[in-house]
Amino acid sequence: MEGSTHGPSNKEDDIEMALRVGIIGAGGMGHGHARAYQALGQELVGVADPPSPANAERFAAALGGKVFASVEELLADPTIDLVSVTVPTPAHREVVCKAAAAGKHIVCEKPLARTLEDADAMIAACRDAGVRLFAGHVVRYFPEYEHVKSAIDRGDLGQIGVVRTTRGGSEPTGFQSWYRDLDRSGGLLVDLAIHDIDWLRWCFGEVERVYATSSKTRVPESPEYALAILRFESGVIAHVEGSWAHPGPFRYAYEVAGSKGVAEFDNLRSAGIVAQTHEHPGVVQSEYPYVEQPLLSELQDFVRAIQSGEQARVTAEDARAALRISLACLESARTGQPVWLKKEGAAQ
Amino acid sequence: MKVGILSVAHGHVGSFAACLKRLGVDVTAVYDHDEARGRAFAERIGSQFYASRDELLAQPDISAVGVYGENALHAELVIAAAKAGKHVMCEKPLATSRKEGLAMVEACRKAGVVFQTFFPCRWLPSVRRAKALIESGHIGRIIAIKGTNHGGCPGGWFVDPKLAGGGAVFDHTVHVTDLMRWITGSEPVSVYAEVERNRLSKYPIDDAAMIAIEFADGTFATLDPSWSRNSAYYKTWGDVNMEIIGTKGTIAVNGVGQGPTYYTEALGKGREAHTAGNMDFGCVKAWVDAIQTGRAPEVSGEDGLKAVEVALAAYLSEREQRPVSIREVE
Repeated sequence: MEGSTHGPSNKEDDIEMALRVGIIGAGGMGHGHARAYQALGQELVGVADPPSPANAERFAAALGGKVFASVEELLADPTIDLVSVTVPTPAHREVVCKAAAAGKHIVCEKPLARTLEDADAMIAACRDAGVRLFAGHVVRYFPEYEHVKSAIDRGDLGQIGVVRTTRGGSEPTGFQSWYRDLDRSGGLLVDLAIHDIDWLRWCFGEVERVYATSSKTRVPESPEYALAILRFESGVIAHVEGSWAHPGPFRYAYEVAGSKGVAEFDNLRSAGIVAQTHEHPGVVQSEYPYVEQPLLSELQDFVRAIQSGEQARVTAEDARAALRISLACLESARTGQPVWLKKEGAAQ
Repeated sequence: MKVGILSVAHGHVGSFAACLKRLGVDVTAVYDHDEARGRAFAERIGSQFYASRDELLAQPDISAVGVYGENALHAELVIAAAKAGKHVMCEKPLATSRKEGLAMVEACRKAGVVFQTFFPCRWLPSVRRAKALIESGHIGRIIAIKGTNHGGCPGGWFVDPKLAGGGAVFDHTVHVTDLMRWITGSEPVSVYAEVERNRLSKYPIDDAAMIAIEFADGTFATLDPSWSRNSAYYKTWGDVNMEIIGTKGTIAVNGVGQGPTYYTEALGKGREAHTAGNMDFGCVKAWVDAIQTGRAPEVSGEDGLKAVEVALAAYLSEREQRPVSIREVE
C-alpha cells in the first residue's frame, strides 16, 4: 500500500499518529535509531538480533520493547509500521527484502548495499511492495553541512572549484571484524567515504569520473587510509579523504573553495568541549554536541515523509547513486586507473 | 664572497638578498631584462645595476648568482651563468620542460659549479622535525601522503603561460613534491591529475587542480596546488601541509602556519604570521655553505628538475585523461 498506514496527516496538527518501530540489529547504530525514535515520540516495539542474542537482551534492558528471536518473527508482528535495518552491510539485502515483503516501511543504514545488484533488488522489492525505503545518509542533516550547502546554493562562494572532505579516526571494531573484510564492508570507500560522496553529489550533481587510491590494495594489514579524486560533470574537483588509520578522536572536516570565497570546517578545531583529567593525563576528550542530534533530524525527516507521502531530503536512489560512485572508487583503487561513470539508461 | 642576481621577477628575490646580507655575503650586482624593475631593486639593496646579463657574468669578483627571473627565462639565465663559471641558485619551478631542465643540470655539471634549487620548505622546522621523527621509525613505513600547497592567484607574469609555463599546477606542485621525495626517499613514477582553468580566477589559466602521485616504493600521494585562496583568506602564503600516514601512526605537518593571527581594522581581515623561523635563510645558508666548502648542496638543481617533472606530468595527464608515467614527460 502506498503512503502511511494511518489516515492522511494534517500538517497543522502536531499530534501525529506515532509510528511503531522495530529495530533489526542491536549494535551501536540500532541503539542510536531506537533512542532517536523515542525522542521523536515514536513507539519502540522491539528488536531482533539473532546472531547476537546478548546484544538484543542488553538493548531491550536499556531501551524497552520486546526481544524477537528472529527477523521473521519481528516482521510478522502486525503492529510494526517501520523497521530500522542496522545490521552489517552484507545482510542489508536479505533483511530489507524480507521487510518489504512483510509490508513494512524501511530505514536502512548506509551504505545501502555492498553491490549495485543488491541495491537494485532492494529498491525494486520496496517499490513492488508499496513500502518506503530510506537510506541513512545522515551527513545531509549535519548543520555544518546544511549550512555551507545553503551558502553554495546562494552563490556566496561563487563558482566552486575545489572541494576537500575528510572523515575518519581509529578503526571500528565491528561484529566479527566485518569492516576489515573488503568483500563484506567495501572498506573505507564504501563504508565511510560514502557519507561525503553523497553530500558532494547533493551539492554538486553527478560525478563524471573518479580516481582513487587505498592502502588496502598495498598494505592490507594496516588500518585503511584512502584518497579519492572526484571530477564532477559541473567541473568541480573534489578530494575525499577517508581514514581508519588515525588513532585519535573522530574527525570530520571540509573545505569548499570558489571564485568568491572559501568555507572551511573542522569538528576538532571547533570542538564544543575538550575535557582532560588528572587521572588520565594525555587523554583528550573532544566532543561536538548538538541541540538536536543529526540522526534525530534524519529520522524525523523519514518519519514525516512516511506520514505525508512526500520525499525525504535523501532517497534510496541517492543512496544507490552514492554507492555507484564508491564502487567506482574501489575499482579505481584496484586498477590504478580512473573510472568513468557512464550515464545509465533510464530503464536501469 | 660576492653574489649577483639575474632578474628580480620573482617576489622571493628580496628575501634571497636579505638572507645573503645576514650571512655577510654582498649582493653587488643586479641584472634584469626589465630595466626599470631591475634598477629599482638594485637601488633598494644598494647594488649596481647591469643592463647586460653577460656584462654582469663577466665580473670576475662575482662567484655566484641567484636566478629569480620569470620561469620561462630560468634556463637561459642558468646556462649562461654556468658557462661563465658561476655557482647558481635558481627559483622554482626550475624549467618549463624536462629538456630545458636537463640542459641546465648538464651545463652546471660541466662547469663544475654548485647548482641549487630554491626550495626553502625543506628548512621549515616542522618539516625537518617530521623527517627526523619518521627516520626514527616513529610512524613505521610510510603508506601515503596527503599534501597541500594552496595559494592565491598571484596575477602578473604568473598568469601568462609564455612567461610562467603554467598556472597553479606549475607554481604550486614543486615545493611539496620535493618534500614528498625527500621524506620518502623515493621517486615519483606516475601522475594523474584533474585540472581546471579559469575556474577560481578570471584568468584562462589552470587555477584549480588535484594531483595524484605514485612513488616507486608504493607510497601514494595527492597534492592540491590550487590557487584557491582569495584576498580575504588569513593564512600565510596559502599553506604548506602534509598528512603523512605510516604503518604505525600518522603525522600532520603544519608547514607555514605556526604563529599568531592578527585581526586589524587597518587590514580589514585576519592575517596569520609565521614565526617559527625563516626557512629562506636555511635554504640560502645551505647554498653558501656548499659553495664555500665544496660539498654538494642538500637540494640540487636535479631535485628541482625531478619536482617539475611531476608538474609537467600533471599537464600531460590532463591532456591524455589518464595516469602518465614520469618517463613520458618531455
